[in-house]
Amino acid sequence: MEEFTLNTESGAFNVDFARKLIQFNVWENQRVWDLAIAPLTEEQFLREVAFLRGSVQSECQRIIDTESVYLQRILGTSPINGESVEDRVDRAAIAAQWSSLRRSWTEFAEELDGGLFVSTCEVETDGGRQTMEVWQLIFHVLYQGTSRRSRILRLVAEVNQPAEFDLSLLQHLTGLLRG
Amino acid sequence: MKSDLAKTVFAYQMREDRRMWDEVIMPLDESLFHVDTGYSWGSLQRECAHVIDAMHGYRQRLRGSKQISKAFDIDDPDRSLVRERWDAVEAEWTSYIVRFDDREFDRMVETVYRDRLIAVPAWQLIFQVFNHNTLHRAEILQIVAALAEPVDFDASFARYCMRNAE
Repeated sequence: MEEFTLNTESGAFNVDFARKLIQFNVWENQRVWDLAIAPLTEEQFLREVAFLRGSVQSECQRIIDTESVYLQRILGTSPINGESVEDRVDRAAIAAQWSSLRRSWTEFAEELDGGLFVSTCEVETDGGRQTMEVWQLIFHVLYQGTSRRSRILRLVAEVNQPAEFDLSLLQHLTGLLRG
Repeated sequence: MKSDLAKTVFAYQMREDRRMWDEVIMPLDESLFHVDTGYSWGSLQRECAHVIDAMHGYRQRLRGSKQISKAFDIDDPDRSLVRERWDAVEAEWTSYIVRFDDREFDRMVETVYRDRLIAVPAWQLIFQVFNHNTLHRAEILQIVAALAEPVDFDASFARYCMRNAE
């Protein structure tokens, strides 16, 4: 299949779908935290699972780092590189930071418009500075969120028990929840 | 424009799915494909079959079907048959996506979801598939890690976009 290039010449357009996708990411993060992570003991939260090369804590930290760095890139408030903020092992601190990020992304979604969606920003990579479009950064955050929530649920199943709810975009969009 | 975005995301998804098959699933011993790991759908076979069923089912929904059929009619397909069926369903999606336009993006589709009749724009069904495949690629990597060893699999969408811009 050919590679497609987004046509950004067609002027303003409705980005309601992107707003809903960001809201979904925020909603599902909260759901995973409340239903799967909050019930864990501190030891379960921090326990390393060897075959998954991580812990619930480390996965939460990675989501937070990505969501924080990418939002700053989009808003132009730095960092333009991908440096992580300091390690956080305290669950209350992680919860507070993630909650703050959810508010920031919710506000960003409310303010998102067609112009911002196709605007560009600078990203520092190993190969030098590169220009990316805002929608690409948004979709990067959405994809990594889905992958990492999947890993979190697997980690929770390993250190505690399988979650009794499923992850699904359409259940959020339709309100038809299971679990 | 919105349809161009969906096409870009679909191309990314297809690339990642194929990489997963070629680099992660196919190098495994065939016997591991059938081992029940006790999590989610259990085996790689059942996990992959579920993804195919979902892709097939949402393609049927976009065609207006209310009765969704399964993608398999045999109980215990081997790996080559699962891959063959995956490729066939992916080809159905490709033929749909290449013709995709902004009107289709917003077209309202009446369908059944979780035993309820709903009406949703086509983009919601399409992004459901993209999200669902991403979720299950992650689960498949977890199963492989449990059966064999952890796999380094860089699925960064940002890096995908950067490479395409070069």
